[in-house]
Amino acid sequence: MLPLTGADDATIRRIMADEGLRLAPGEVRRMLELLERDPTRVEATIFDTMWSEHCSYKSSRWALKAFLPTQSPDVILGPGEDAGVVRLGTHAGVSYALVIAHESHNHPSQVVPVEGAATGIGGIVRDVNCMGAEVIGVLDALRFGDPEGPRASGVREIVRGVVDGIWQYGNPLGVPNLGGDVFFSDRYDENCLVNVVALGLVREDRVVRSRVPEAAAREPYVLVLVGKPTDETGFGGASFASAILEQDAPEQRGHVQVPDPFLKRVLFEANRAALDWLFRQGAPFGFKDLGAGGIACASSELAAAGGFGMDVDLDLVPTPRGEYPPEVIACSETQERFALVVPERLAPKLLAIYNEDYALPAVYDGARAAVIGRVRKDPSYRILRHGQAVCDAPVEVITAGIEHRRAERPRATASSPAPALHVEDHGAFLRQLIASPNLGSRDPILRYYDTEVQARMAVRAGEADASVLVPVPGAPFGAAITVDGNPWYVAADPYWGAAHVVYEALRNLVAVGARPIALTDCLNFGNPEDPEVFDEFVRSVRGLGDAARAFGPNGEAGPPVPIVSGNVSFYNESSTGRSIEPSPIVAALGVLDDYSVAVTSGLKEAGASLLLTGPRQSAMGASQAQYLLVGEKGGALPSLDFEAERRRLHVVLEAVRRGLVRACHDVSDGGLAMAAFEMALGGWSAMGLGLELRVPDADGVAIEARLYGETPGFLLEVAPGREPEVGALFQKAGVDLTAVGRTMAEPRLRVVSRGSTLVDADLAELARIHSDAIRPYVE
Amino acid sequence: MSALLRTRLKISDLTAWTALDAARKLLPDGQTLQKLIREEVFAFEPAVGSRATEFESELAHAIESSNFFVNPNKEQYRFTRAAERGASLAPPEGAWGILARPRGDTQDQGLLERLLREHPMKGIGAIRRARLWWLWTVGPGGGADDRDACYRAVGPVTGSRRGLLVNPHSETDLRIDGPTAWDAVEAFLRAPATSRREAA
Amino acid sequence: MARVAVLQIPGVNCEYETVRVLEAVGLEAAIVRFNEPSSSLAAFDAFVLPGGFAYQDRIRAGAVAAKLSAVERIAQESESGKPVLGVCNGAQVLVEAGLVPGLQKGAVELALAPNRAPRRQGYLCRWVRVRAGEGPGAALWTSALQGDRMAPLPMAHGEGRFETADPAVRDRIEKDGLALFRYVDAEGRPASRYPDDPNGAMLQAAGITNERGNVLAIMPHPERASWLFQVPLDWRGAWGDRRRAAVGSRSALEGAGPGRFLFESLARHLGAAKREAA
Repeated sequence: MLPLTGADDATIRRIMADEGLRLAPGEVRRMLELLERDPTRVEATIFDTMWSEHCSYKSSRWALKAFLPTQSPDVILGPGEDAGVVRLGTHAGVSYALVIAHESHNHPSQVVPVEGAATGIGGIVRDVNCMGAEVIGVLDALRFGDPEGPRASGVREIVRGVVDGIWQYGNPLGVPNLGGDVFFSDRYDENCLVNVVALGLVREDRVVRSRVPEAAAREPYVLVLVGKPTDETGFGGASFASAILEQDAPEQRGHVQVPDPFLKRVLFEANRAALDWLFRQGAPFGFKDLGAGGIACASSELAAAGGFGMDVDLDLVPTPRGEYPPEVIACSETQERFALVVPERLAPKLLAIYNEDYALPAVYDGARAAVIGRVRKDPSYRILRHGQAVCDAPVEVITAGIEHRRAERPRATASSPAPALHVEDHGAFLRQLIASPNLGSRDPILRYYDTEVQARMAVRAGEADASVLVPVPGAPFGAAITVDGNPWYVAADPYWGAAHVVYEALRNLVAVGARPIALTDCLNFGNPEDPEVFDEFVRSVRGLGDAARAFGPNGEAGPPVPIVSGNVSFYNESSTGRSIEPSPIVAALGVLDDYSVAVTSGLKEAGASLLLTGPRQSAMGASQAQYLLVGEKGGALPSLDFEAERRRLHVVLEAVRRGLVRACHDVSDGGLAMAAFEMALGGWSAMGLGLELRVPDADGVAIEARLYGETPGFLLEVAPGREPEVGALFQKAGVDLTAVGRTMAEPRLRVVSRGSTLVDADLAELARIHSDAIRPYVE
Repeated sequence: MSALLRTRLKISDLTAWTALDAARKLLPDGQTLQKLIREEVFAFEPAVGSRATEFESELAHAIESSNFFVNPNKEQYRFTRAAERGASLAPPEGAWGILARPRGDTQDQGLLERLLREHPMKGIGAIRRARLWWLWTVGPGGGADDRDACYRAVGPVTGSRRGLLVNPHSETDLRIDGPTAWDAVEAFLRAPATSRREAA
Repeated sequence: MARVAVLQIPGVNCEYETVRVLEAVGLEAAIVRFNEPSSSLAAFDAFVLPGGFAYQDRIRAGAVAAKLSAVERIAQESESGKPVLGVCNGAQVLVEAGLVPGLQKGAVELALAPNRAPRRQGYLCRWVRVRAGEGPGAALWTSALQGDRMAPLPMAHGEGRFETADPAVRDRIEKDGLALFRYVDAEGRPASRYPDDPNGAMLQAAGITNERGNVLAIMPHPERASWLFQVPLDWRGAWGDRRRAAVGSRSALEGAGPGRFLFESLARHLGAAKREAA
């Protein structure tokens, strides 16, 4: 027992420090109140983990609850378990659902980029798999420091390491990469972000819950631990130092989680067989992955969710040779593990599937499935070691959670007039724009990722604004997915910036012809104890929620696009306490009733019209062009009218679905010029096409803002002769549409304004500049 | 004379574990593989007319202060200046080694270019790379091993059940049975591989 | 119906899409785990070693899997002429097990070395073009390939460069037409530079057979190009035109893709073999 009852703050802090724990004195007192006695070391370690920001959402929970919509008719399971579940469609009498989860793995990726990013993928795919789903894709949103700044060399090491970690884990796992995004900004110099999204497919009648089933009241149920033997990897507190070769210091692996995609692939196959067998037995069961807090966290949550108790016997947990303290076995975050709760009578055969059919012990030294505990009908939760209880408390005490209300204070912003932006030579500036780190081609990164495995891909990352896959071979429906987040926008205005992030993601779905059905969010911020950071957090969450609510087919009156899963990551800051830019990152998931309508952004034929929707505005705050021209990231954002945007998105979706649009691209980073260039690029590589962009007029808006400003919108290629039909559709919806040029057989990009030619460039040359832009940071 | 960097994982080396497991199944009766360690070797060779002393300090700094070659959270390393490397490469106590490098490439041009881009320094002519497998084999009853038989069983692949750690069509290797002169090691790293026909 | 075994070695990851295309061409396909009694393999008419990362490519791609008794058993079965297809990681296993090119029985005569391309190290995933030659494997593996005998296929590997240290092996492969599939440029000429030539393989080889032609080790993935919807929309050439024209038509997109010919050819061969036996 740790002698904490009655201790003063200083004593509590000393004891916590001695134990390598981070509970604050107030939290310790709350723990004592719940336990009604001093905790054992194991209990204190469990509370320390369960009450961490990562597991407890202690600062953020109230805001998420208050502001984010989570329900709609498409939702089967909203936030609360490891992943959200939404309806996909019915084919051949079977109803299918999509499973989505979104997490960050920022700090580990900064320390050990390869392993950090790899375990990020490894963790998120477990969250989806443990809902009973086959993982059918991953995406990654990456934020790195300035690759040309004072810390460029270190930043590039992280870029290379993270990309290596993603492909070295994701490719062997056999899960296709569905894309993602990359953003460079100096505020990430010392704290990169690695956000990962996983998508899964499951039969609706085979969604597995993470809880002890009710049937455990009628027959004995046991807890089965599957996977890697439990060791100290990923156990907090251990420090490791650099040692030279010959010193042969005892291994201090501690913090570093060792990912093993090979074992994971075999586990996925074994899980598939095991779950299939369990379903055929007809007995209810529970399934959960092991993440932070390891066995203690997973087993107590399984028990609490079902209203049962549990006895876990640490003596039965497979470990590598050597003795580990009970708190390590109970709480270590060793990778590649799952837990099942099954009827005791089924356990022997279940174990044989893992240990014999799929031969886990031959795949990894000591890996196996083993019974490590029993469900109790009373609500007590006990962890035993050598027959002694090292944790013994009512399960609801263990999973009680904790909340903190943090102070908010708006950041003081000096409102300075927008800088004058002037482009003398548009040809030269366009070349600078397409070669800049944030707008250069992502191809050098994407080519490391296996986009083809599983053979479901209809539209790949880089070909269109969202990836489209055919989840159920032979079925008509498609799934589209994208991930977005512009940190400069959110830094400039947390509420409207976050709202822009949601709409950008939704536009990406609409551009390929997909109806948005769900969102996930990963909220990456600095220190929540800093009132200015926390204020940004709260405003961002409000912006996300309002934007998601506003999009439904009936506006705010109708159902929202629900946010079904997500994650909060705080304390993203440099060693000097400088926070990252506030970085909410949003993934959007859409469904196509008929995947064949999906279009890409590349031009499809010569002589077609280019149409723009989204009138150009003057505001260029937080734009890429402004940064390149004057080095300034802040300023006023383009305004966002929820109702007008909602109508615009719905009419574009309708036009794509009807086959009126041959190519579609949203206008975002880099503005109209960048959108036109990217559309030309696809047509150039496919057929040697080019385009002529006529800069649209807009009263009082400078040419720089019309060409490079980031007012949202869409650029559409419409087949010759179909313009009137498209025009009528937009007119009926009350949405603007302007002709801005034509596609052409010549492989050139031409930009003209009132009779004068601003740019006339060979696309092959532009393509080369664009594709080489970030190559030196990656290769 | 080259400066040398040797690195090794301090987190679990899963490749080494799989290699150990696979190698044990291939050894002839009576021969036992007790332990196996994998190292990466980088030899930094001075450009013509240069000496290693011209870049060693900057190189040592790059290795220590950045994660370009080594991430101390997961790897351990030893950097040896040319003048300090001693006469020979000696196996650890009780071990022998197989030093393998790509057949077609005697230097890693891409790595050198990247190094010079991230950590500008003068005087390096080539980075030569190899992988070093250290094996602890014993014979019946813990006695002396049959080294040749062990090498045939787990060294270069010659047949479907013969050899493991090296494919001689893409790699070339040097057996390190005992202390091996650095000059010989460097000559091995530098020499274009001959075709098997020519070698025969 | 002819039966094909898809061997599931720990770490492979293309077994399901491989089964899907085998079934689409009318074959019966079954996933067989590596540790099932190897005698059960004898009941099959053909074998596929699918793509993936057997043993996570530790030591070298294919190196550990090549020693499995199931692979040894498949080698024996191939001696009676049964077709054996290794795709990507499966190809790496066949090479490490000495089945391809198999000039001297039981000898390993090739390697699949790390890709070699200017400024590009490590794994590479992209679509490439291959053209089929007229070697001993042509009848079995390409009878359904029409016209210019070219096909776009996706590749996804880090170790795909066919290489040998023995000039005589290289000569035999070239002279006897064992490099059944070679990387070509858009005009069908042997690829001379990256990215048409994605990995620097000798003879621009994308797929190599044994002397008899019944064992094929191919690096690109025909099973990932077996439906039209899988072809990239911005692909240049006839298959790209077909893909673009099919937007809006599900029936067209569900039609055969450029890699289907390999499995169609196999099905024809196995069908003919069955009829002969009957």
